Amino acid sequence: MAWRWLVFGGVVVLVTVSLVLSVSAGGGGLNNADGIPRAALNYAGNHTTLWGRIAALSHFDVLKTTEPLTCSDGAANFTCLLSKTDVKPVVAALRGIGVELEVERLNDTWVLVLHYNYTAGQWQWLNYTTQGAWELKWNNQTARIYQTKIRKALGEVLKVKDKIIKKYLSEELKGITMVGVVRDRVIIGTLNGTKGKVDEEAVRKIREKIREVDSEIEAEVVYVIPEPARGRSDEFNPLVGGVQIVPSWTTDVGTYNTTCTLGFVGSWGNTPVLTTAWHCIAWTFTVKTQGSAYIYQPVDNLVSNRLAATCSYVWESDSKLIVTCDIIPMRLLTQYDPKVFRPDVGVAYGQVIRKYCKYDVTKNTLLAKAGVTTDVTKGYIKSYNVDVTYSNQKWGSKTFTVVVKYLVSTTIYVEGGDSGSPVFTYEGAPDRLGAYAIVSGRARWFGFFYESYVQNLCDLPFIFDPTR
Amino acid sequence: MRLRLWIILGVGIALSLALGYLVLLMGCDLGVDIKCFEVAQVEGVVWSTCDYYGNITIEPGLPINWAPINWAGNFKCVAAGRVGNRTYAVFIRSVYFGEPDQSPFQSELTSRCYSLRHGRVIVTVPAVAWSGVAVLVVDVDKGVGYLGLAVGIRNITEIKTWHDLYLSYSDVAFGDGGVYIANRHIWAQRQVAGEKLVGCFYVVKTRVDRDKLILGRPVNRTAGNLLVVKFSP
Repeated sequence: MAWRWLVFGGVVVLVTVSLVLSVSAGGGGLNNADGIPRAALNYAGNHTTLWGRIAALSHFDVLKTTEPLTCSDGAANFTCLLSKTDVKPVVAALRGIGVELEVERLNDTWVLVLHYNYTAGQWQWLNYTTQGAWELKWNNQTARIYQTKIRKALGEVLKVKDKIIKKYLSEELKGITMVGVVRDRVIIGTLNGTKGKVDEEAVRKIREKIREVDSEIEAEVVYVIPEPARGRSDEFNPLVGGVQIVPSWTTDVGTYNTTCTLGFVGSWGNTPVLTTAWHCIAWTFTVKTQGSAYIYQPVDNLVSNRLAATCSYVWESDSKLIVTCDIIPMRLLTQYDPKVFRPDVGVAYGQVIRKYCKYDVTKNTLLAKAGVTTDVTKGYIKSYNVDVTYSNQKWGSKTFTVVVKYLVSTTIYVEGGDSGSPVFTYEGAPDRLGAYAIVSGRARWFGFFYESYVQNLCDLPFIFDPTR
Repeated sequence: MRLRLWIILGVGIALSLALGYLVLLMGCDLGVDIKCFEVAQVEGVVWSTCDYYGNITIEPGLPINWAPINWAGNFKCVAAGRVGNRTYAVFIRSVYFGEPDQSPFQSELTSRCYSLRHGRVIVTVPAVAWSGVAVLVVDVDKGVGYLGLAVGIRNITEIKTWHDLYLSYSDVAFGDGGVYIANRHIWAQRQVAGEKLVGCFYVVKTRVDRDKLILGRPVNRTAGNLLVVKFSP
């Protein structure tokens, strides 16, 4: 009989222990000894920097600081957090998650905070008067806490943001495209505007609705059209360089097409033109290759059906064409922007700010191209003047050899489909570009990449401006 | 003694060169069976458009430079119909044909094989990709397929869209002789950068999920000089 009681007792103990374990394992809402929610502890613990851990605790409203900010004392920049409280709760909470700090009180009575003014669209320094300043040190990291008047701490402003989103989801707030948090305020993105500026009436209405959510919160309203990440094969309107095109042309026996890359878009006087490689339309528009050509972007939308000009050329014989450049400028039917799509990794667009002729770019200047097959590749000029022979070129029933004059050879890697790609320099920043050339072709040595050939924009028989 | 050393050195160099040549030659011979078909005066039935929602696998695989699947897609059904108790289908899939010579094969392989075939160390080409297709004609029930290659060459007087440039349902008819195709410029090559054998196809084992193939219906009879793709009875 006794053994039955023993088994019963064992089962009770087991159930109790497993219940306690399961509650403590899954209990996101449970607190530790210092009253910090477990979710906040885990979240803060996953951060590796001192300021990251403080902000992570403020995210859960455990502390009353802002997000980490770029600050200055007038002499040097450093990372700081503005706080509604003094340093004591910060030190206590960090000790609660196993961070033992060194704390030094500072005599600073003010601090400058770098702020992006969304309405003005520019960075500016804001001056805050402080009631206390402390420097915290941990694991060779330093962060400063400034006690000052802020409207909302990070956790508080995040709660306001969630309420706004809820109101937006219930359709009380319309036309909102983005709700963000910056420092102690919310940023509201809206489509209600024109030419990048928000309508005054829309700003008034949005602020009114947000005051209903929280009367203290400060809101900046900006014009924002969110876009998913784009690829070179997407449709672009306005048209920009570095994206996929399908050139199509008619011949004596039928219609053909290729996949190429759109070069630079710009103007010839007042005529808007696009540029790509001439061979992308198989040298159409000479006296022996008369047909029509059409450029689609990416595959369906007609963006050009009219020639602007051809490079100079001569038919040396019925089977040999000599051209002074491998660029075809076509008149544009659509809106354009003198930019290049994804000119570097992580950069959405690059503005073309200048044009370089052939010898303007030295052999130690980094060049890059943006093409549909091999994306962004970079290299240097090998030779300024190379005449290249492309044999077995086909236009309808004709087969001929083409000699392209005055190409520049480079170490930039290219593949089939990259023809027409814009080749450019970076002008101090990856989104400011100097237009240099259009990709023409490549050479392989027993299958191995040897060099590529690009055509400088100044080889065109007219002045093409890729900046406007 | 010295002569023997020179002979050994010479043989060594010759063997190294031969070995290097063989290494460079790897992959140039595709080693896939090819079947060629004739153009003949035939009469058959045109079926309306078809759809296919499954995957298609072909064996052996070929080193074809397929256009990116994210925008060009996989095999699309062009035409499918029944003759007696046999089901035939014609699919196309976009291929990038690179230079030299509008080659449908991967560019490194093409350049290497072209160099060896034509004795040219350096091959200079435009960095262009010609648009074209692989045409796959399948006996669905038997899992036998014929795969050919084509660059756009239909007479289109008015350009609206180029999507139907290669083959549309009205270019295909079905009859007792098999599948009849209006495009006569389909080819296959025994070697990469080799001769284009017009009217020829690679013989490939083809798996098509019959349940995911939606046939059209017979719309009209047509007659003409068409490429006759025959399947064994």
